[in-house]
Amino acid sequence: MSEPRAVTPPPTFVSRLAQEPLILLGLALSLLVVTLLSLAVGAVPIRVEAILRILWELLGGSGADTREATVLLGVRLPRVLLAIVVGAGLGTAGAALQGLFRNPLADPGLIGVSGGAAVAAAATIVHGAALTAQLPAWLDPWLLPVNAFLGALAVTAIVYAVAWRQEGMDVATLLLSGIALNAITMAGLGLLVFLSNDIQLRSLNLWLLGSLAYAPWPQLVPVIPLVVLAMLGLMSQARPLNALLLGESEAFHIGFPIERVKRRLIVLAALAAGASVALTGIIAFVGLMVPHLVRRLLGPDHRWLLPGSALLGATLLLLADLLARTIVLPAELPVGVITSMVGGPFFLWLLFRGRRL
Amino acid sequence: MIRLRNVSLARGGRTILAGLDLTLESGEMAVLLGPNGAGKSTLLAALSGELAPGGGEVLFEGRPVGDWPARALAQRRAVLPQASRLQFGFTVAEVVELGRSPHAGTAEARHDKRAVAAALQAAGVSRFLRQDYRRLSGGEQQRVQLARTLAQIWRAEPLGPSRWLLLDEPVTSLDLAFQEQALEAAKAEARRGAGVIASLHDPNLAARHADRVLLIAGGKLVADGPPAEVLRPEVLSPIYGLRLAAVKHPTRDLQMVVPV
Repeated sequence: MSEPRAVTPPPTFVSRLAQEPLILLGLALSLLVVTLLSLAVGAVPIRVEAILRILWELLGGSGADTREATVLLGVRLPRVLLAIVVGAGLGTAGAALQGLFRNPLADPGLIGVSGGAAVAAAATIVHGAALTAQLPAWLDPWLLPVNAFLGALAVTAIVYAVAWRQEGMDVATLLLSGIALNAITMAGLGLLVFLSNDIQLRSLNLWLLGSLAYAPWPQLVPVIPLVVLAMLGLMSQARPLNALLLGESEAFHIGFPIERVKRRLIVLAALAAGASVALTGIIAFVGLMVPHLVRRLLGPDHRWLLPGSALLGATLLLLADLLARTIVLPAELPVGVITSMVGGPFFLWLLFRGRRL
Repeated sequence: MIRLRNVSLARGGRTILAGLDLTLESGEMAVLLGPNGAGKSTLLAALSGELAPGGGEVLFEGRPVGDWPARALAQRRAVLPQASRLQFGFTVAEVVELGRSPHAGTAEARHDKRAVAAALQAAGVSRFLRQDYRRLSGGEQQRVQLARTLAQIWRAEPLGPSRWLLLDEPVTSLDLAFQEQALEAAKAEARRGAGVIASLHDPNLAARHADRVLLIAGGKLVADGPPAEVLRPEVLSPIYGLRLAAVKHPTRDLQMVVPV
């Protein structure tokens, strides 16, 4: 057409709604509220002022020796921290994996990452004693999360080797091999259950269903930096992840060294999911549901999606755990039962809607 | 300048490019013609650095294209794929803004908004700005992707390092008017100094828009020259296995070909 079309002024730019920072702030505030609520509610109720006072005194270095302080610092705080770290880690890993595979149904559980972590962690629980005897004592708490990470990485490396092609990583093969590896890791878990003694079996059982009940400080301390490191690493990959949504070739065309980016994402997602799984077992569907919900609030841009998924993942897992430990007092449900009861139908609903989210 | 020296490339055990020699200059609109399976997309993938040739070499501005860092390459050349689907709901503006990724953190980044606005307009998609990409028709999506590539190599100053636009069948899903508009937009980039290589199926579109026509068949370059030279029935008929006749364009000094 030689005649130019009507010249309209250049459109002004409003990137989506420009409310992303506010929404993120809202998510952070709800996490804060739910955290305080989780610290307050339980067999021994603790008022919020008391919580703040005890935490303040802790920061000041003068630990109060009341019953409330013992419950809060010895039991509730580590559990709440574990829920926050695991929820944030799974949410972030799920968002990153969905972007990497350009598949809104991807989930750390789906591609076998969680399964690999679970087998390695269960093996550590059952046979770890033999290993710890050889190691200096300060390394003991690191054994479980590091092994879980290695298990997650090993499985991911196998999936990657199977699915890698000259033209790049084939996503369909990747997901299918994830299914096969999940079957193998579940068989491995069954074998470990069979080999375990009664005491191990009790902790394995809780763990197989996914539970936040096991959160002693020494075990918690290594998990936090590992998951936080992985999450920050994933957030630094937000731009390449956005580019990947266009397709792998397209991401290369707009300047991202795509094979390197994919390897980096796989290792970081394995670390986030693996270290999260170490203490809690497989908590299903958090990595699937959370990014979907956050996308509705913030859109698909990973610069907002990843931090949003970390915040909402932490909040939802805290809420689920609050429910799990109060709904059948004085006993408690494994939190994995709750997330699966909510997440399973959510997953089916997604399939029913034809994955249009 | 992009130079291919004796480039051969096999995919899945099948030879696609068989010893291709070719030199492309910037400022020129080159159209790639050839039957289905002739190797047009593979040639473009080799030019873009996406596929490494099995033999020979592809030199992008004098340096093997595989040696270029992905980002530096992306600052100089953009690629339009045949079709791009999205699983997640980016808006049209966000898709086009992604084209500016290679310029993030460089001096060029301050022109991002102008580049995106100009590209949206050139591709005729300004009015879709805030719509969900997935809700657009195939042709509209193709125009948005074209806008993304135009934004990627857009520059306030036409001088500077060379710019390349590689378009793989840019008009397949477009209606008549937008076919013209898309090719005019590409040609305008060539007039501003960019090198453009577009694969097409319609020799008559090539006749009107190309400065140079490259005809490939069986992984080899079989004809290379101005449209009037290459787009003749005696050249095209044996390649397509179809009897063709030449006709005069009713109003312009152009020769066109039609099946007999």
